[in-house]
Amino acid sequence: MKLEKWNPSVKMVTILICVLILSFQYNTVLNTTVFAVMLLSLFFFSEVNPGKVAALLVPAGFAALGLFVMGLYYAKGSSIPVKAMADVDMMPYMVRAALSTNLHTALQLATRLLAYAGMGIVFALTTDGEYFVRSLMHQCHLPPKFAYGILAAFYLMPFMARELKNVQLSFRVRNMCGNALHPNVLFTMLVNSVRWSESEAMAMESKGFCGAAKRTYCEIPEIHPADVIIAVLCIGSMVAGIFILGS
Amino acid sequence: MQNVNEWKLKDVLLIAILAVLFGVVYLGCTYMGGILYGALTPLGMASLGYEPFYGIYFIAGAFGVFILRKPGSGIIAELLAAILECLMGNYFGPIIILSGIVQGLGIELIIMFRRYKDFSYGTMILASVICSVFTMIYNLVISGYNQIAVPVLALMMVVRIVSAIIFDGLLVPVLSMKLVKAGLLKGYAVSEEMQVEIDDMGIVS
Amino acid sequence: MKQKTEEMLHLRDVVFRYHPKGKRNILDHVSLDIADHTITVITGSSGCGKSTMAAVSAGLYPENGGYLESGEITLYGRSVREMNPQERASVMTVMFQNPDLQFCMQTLRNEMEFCLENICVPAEEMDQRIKNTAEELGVAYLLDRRLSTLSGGEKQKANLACLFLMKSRCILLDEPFANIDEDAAWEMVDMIKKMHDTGTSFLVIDHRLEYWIPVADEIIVLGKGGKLIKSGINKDNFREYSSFLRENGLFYPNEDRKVHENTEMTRPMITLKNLTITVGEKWKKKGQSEQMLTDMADAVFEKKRISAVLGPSGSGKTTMFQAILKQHAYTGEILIGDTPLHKIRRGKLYSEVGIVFQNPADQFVTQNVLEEVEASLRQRKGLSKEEKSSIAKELLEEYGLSGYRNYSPYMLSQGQQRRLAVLSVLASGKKILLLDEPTYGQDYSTTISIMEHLRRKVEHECMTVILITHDSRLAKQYADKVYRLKDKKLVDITGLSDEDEVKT
Ligand SMILES: Nc1ncnc2c1ncn2[C@@H]1O[C@H](COP(=O)(O)OP(=O)(O)OP(=O)(O)O)[C@@H](O)[C@H]1O
Ligand SMILES: Nc1ncnc2c1ncn2[C@@H]1O[C@H](COP(=O)(O)OP(=O)(O)OP(=O)(O)O)[C@@H](O)[C@H]1O
Ligand SMILES: [Mg+2]
Ligand SMILES: [Mg+2]
Repeated sequence: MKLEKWNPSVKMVTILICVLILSFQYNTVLNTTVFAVMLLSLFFFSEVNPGKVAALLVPAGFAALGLFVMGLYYAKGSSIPVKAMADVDMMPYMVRAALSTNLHTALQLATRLLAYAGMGIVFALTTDGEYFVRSLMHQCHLPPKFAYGILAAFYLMPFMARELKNVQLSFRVRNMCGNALHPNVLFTMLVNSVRWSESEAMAMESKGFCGAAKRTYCEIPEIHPADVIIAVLCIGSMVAGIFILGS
Repeated sequence: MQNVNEWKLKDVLLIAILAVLFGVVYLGCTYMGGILYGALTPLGMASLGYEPFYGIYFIAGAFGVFILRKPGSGIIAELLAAILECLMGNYFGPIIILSGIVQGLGIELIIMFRRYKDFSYGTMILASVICSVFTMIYNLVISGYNQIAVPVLALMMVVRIVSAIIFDGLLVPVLSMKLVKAGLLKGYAVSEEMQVEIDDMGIVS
Repeated sequence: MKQKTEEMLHLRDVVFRYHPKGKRNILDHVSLDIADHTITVITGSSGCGKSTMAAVSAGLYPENGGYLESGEITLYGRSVREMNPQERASVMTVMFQNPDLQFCMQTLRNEMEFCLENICVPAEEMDQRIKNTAEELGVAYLLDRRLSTLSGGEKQKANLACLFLMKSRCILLDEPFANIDEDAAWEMVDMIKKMHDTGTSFLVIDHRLEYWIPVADEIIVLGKGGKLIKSGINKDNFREYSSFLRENGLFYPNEDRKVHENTEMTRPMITLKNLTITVGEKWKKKGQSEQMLTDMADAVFEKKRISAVLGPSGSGKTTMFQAILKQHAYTGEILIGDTPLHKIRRGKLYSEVGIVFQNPADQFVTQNVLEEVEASLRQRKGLSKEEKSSIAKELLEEYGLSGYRNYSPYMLSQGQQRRLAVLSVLASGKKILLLDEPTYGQDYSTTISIMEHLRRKVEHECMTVILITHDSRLAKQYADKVYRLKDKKLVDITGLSDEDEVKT
């Protein structure tokens, strides 16, 4: 079964359980294994474009690197006083000292982040947004009002992007700053958000959308035994990993 | 009449759209903050690079409580924002939903204690502080920050609190008020509690 | 197939305003009865409260905004306030004036599925129903396109398709053809007539009565405060009322008089040479390839002239403007004066052009009508502060907006928003104006006054104006040069009558 087909709610719950388990483990090897397994499963069990994986791995890698260096220098109980770190002359020695004592912590922090990111990337890249929300609606009892509200806002994004372009242009043709993060532009976008929410709500209601009433669904995501089996396998192998790799 | 505490469709849409908007703003900011992040990496303070924008993270929740003023508005708003962030392809995936719950709880707690009646700057600032503390506790457990030296954490905490106060404690009320004055939030709880006068010539406030 | 006339919509003594504490009632003790099984057309000057009345009638206000002080609104004998949206949708669905912001799904197919889900149609029947309606309305080719990429007119058609699909007893249309070209609009009218014959009622708000005179059972006129001032107009007694309509600036007199004549050439200001514009993502999967909008099109837009561009919905008019504004890629050449566009820096370009977007709400930069005009006036040099504010007030007066000085632009009616957009672009003193449908949603008298104002400006200030419009008569009356975007080319049809055009 491809990861894309895995029921999104089950996928989400599985990942959340794994995250909670991992957050109480301080095991570099386990973290790394999880990360590797995630990447491999993306490669073997999904149709994800490798370019997209790379695009998400870069920021995740940066975050992990940052955390690594942080752990290296400032791990708790570190032998280096924080103050001394600014001392450039001492640096090489200090780094060496730090390496010996803090490397373990640093690696732990960084690999943990990578493990999370691995799981997150699997979810982000193999889950169709609409399928996810529909599944939340049917499996997690997210009320339709919220589910369709989320979808509407999500699908409004390209409209917002176009509107932002127009707003920027209107500012520019009036000799005003059109930078997207300029307060005036942002406030205009904020105003537009309020306007959109009102019009969207009216449009949806006029098309008969009613949060409370009964409705049919053109497709209903279901949980199949396979979905659960995979979840059990994932969590099971995680727990097994803890015992095998020791903590 | 509907129950006032029930969410209307337009409430959901407002919060969801604001969440998308600020999700993008946050991305834009971290993109710019990338330089800061890069510069801080060799110093071992990389994570500090994100902290100045941390407040934008809970802006949806802050807007939620401030505009809607009903029980659960902060948590639900943050949950909406988290699900949307998931849809937008955040590399943390569903983990964001966990942090969303924590943030929503953090922002709403004090307001809950004040029975959704007091929305002064003081309360909003306090809410942002509590929210920052909550997220830090969350980071201690989930991100393993408990392994980091306390002074560094304290520094991060301070930056985070300042950021939260600026974005959530001050900016959210100010922006909401500006929106109310522009006559845009008619029918939301914020407007009802603010005296805005309107006559044939528009809003006199 | 007329049955016994029963009552469809009934308003009694409705008082509605947007702000609970406001003093101005938008609907001021309005009473109105509309019979079932009719096509009823509502007209009235811009800003009189037609759209508001539509939303109140459909029960969308005060649920989503505004304050209903008193009054009784019933649809088919049931109070709208007691119905939930699903029940309301079975009796009345609404198409709003602004074609943007009407959709909540990604593609038209999904949107249509959403509509059917709302009214509890079983999943198995959906595909067939969607297919039938889409083919009937000629929007099948849009079904799997992303809604966000559709042009204004395509969005309106898509929206009509959604409403037709839902088969409610009454369909309320608020300026349904504002962004649709005339031929397509006539086809739609036919379709509406057919649906009406099978029992659906239509309530239509429109300024352009010529579409409706042949099919409407009744035309009613609303005045200030949403009050009914004339009713019972139909094609048989239309002549009796035409002077009344004309006096109120509501009817478009049927004359093909050319108001201005300017045949001699001046210097070209914007020249398009071999312009090719494509849309769609190049690197997208094979199936969804790019689509060519113009193919080696040529055109010359002269200085001190008004040029009009006509063309069916989705032919690429708006995209052409985007290209001229450096917002969309193109191949070929665009010359501004003698300089190729790619040699002009953005800043320089934007200091010379003024724009009106197809959706006017996109272009407001302030939260106040007066400031909006002043922001534009600020670009004119050598004006003192007092002068600016007096010019601004004068302009607002001329465009019938002086009563709204302190309003937020978003609190204006659609027609008023459009006027404000046009007015502020005219105030800016720019030399090149790109106007995307500047007169839609205006009643006859404001259309004329906008065009006359434009005319004066063009002649006195030596401007270059390009306007996109769907109103071919307006183009012929006021433009010195008329292009039609047809078969991916810009064809010069100045001075040709419709028959001549077909021949060429
Ligand atoms: N959201 C709003 N908030 C406050 N006032 C509004 C709002 N929308 C419209 N109005 C006011 O209500 C009046 C009637 O607006 P409405 O949109 O009903 O006019 P209309 O008859 O449909 O005009 P048009 O033909 O231009 O569309 C306008 O004068 C406008 O100022
Ligand atoms: N990003 C895009 N991807 C795919 N198609 C697009 C994109 N942008 C525009 N189009 C298509 O290009 C065509 C031209 O759109 P445009 O808005 O220029 O039409 P228009 O002539 O202004 O029509 P209207 O009179 O209806 O406003 C439309 O069919 C539209 O669907
Ligand atoms: Mg209107
Ligand atoms: Mg267009």
